[in-house]
Amino acid sequence: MREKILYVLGIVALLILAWNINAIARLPEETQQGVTFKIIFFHVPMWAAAMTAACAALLASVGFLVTKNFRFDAAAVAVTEVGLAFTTVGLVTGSIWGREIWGIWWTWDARLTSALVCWLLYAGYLMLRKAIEEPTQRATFAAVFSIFAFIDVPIVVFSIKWWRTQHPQPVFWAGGSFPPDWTTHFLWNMVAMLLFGIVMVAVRLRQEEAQREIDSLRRTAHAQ
Amino acid sequence: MNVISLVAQLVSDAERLQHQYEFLSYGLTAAWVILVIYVLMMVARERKLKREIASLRAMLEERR
Amino acid sequence: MGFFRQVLVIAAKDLRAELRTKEAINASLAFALVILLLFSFAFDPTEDTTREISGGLLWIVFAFAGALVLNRSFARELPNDCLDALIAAPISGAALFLGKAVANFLLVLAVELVSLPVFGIFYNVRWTSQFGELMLVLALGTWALTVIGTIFSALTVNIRLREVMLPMLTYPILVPALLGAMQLTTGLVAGKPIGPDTMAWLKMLIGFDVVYTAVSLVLVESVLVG
Repeated sequence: MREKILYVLGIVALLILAWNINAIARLPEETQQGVTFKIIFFHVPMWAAAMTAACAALLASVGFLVTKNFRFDAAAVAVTEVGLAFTTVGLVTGSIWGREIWGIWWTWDARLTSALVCWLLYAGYLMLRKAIEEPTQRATFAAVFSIFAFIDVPIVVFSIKWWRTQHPQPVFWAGGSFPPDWTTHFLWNMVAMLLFGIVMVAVRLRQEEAQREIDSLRRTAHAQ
Repeated sequence: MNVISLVAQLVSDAERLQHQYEFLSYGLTAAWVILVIYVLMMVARERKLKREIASLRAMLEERR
Repeated sequence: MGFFRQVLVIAAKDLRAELRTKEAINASLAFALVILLLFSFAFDPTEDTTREISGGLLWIVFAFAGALVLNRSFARELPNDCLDALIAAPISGAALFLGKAVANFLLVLAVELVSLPVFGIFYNVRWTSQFGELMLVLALGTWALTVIGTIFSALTVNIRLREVMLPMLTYPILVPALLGAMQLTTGLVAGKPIGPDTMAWLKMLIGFDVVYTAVSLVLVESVLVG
């Protein structure tokens, strides 16, 4: 039953997104950036979801260190992985948008650099988990690293802002007008993306539970 | 004369639009492709886990 | 024994063990010199280019060479189960961590102090004009490197691919600290003292050190005991 609800919710989220593509394609051009601006409809909700995931990962990691309850560990890995997938999409869509508006794929400005560092940190988190066998140790070390990573992100953002204000800026936010009737589509995409993220996290959580069941079955098999 | 410049304007507008739509479609395709790959990875892992549980359960049954 | 006494005992023990074998510090020093040599091929080491990138070059050398020292910090305790004995000893995890961090700090600083004159000779740079401030930046940046490196050295000591995981986890976290240290060092090597425009970097570096030392001291117990 729980599975079916999850799948239905996931399909609903994807349907909203698909329907919105059609609606967004019909919207008029944005005054300064033209059609390419519409990537923002995907790009920004993606980042919103990724940032929500990062905050949730911090809470889950602290929760694990305080309670030593493995549900928090499962939650932490689930949100980090989904957040990393969203971050990847955010980076790629942003890069494509930049190629059209700025004329370059990548620039070392504050947001892009800090996003890339963020991506590297959370990818490192997942690799660290892969390298540790023992479950308690894995959960503890991963939680510690996750806290370190989360603290790092605001420092990176500020430091790179200073770094870039000292240099001439090659490009900057071109600034766009955002008509009010676009906002509805934007918000729908936001809702759909968050819903999709929640479904993915729930699926990932169940997989983590299954993994633990496998481990305990293995132990009983050994004990016999 | 006026007509010719108008046509030229229209053609260049259409070209610009096409170029922009091209990039819009790249962006959307990339976003969807990454998400689909992630979902597929999730499905593959789900299958692997289910198979593993089933085989372990069968093994335990056998031993009993 | 008071807390600081314990820290000193651990630091002295680590330094003594390292100075008897010299395995980490020799490797680190040799590595630093090799990277300095290789960088001279990467670009034309004329005065102007060197002045522009000196901070970046030096800190990349320090970060890479430092990783070798940090890798050994906890791995040295693995044979004969020394790590378990240390954890079971009647000192807090925080004292153990801080003692090891101090020892690493001194070792990495020693490597840096040898590399600096070599850099000055190879690249024909007079780097001593702002000596005091440069030492301050060096100490702050090295502390950032060692405090993060030591806690992650404890984190990665028991896992597979230890040598790969440590730099992969530390360098992204160190981005702000290294960025600040590079900016400050470039200016200081070129002879410009820390002014109002670079003050923000110094503050950021100090903030980074304080925040991460505090967080490490809080979390180290759960890393060591598990």
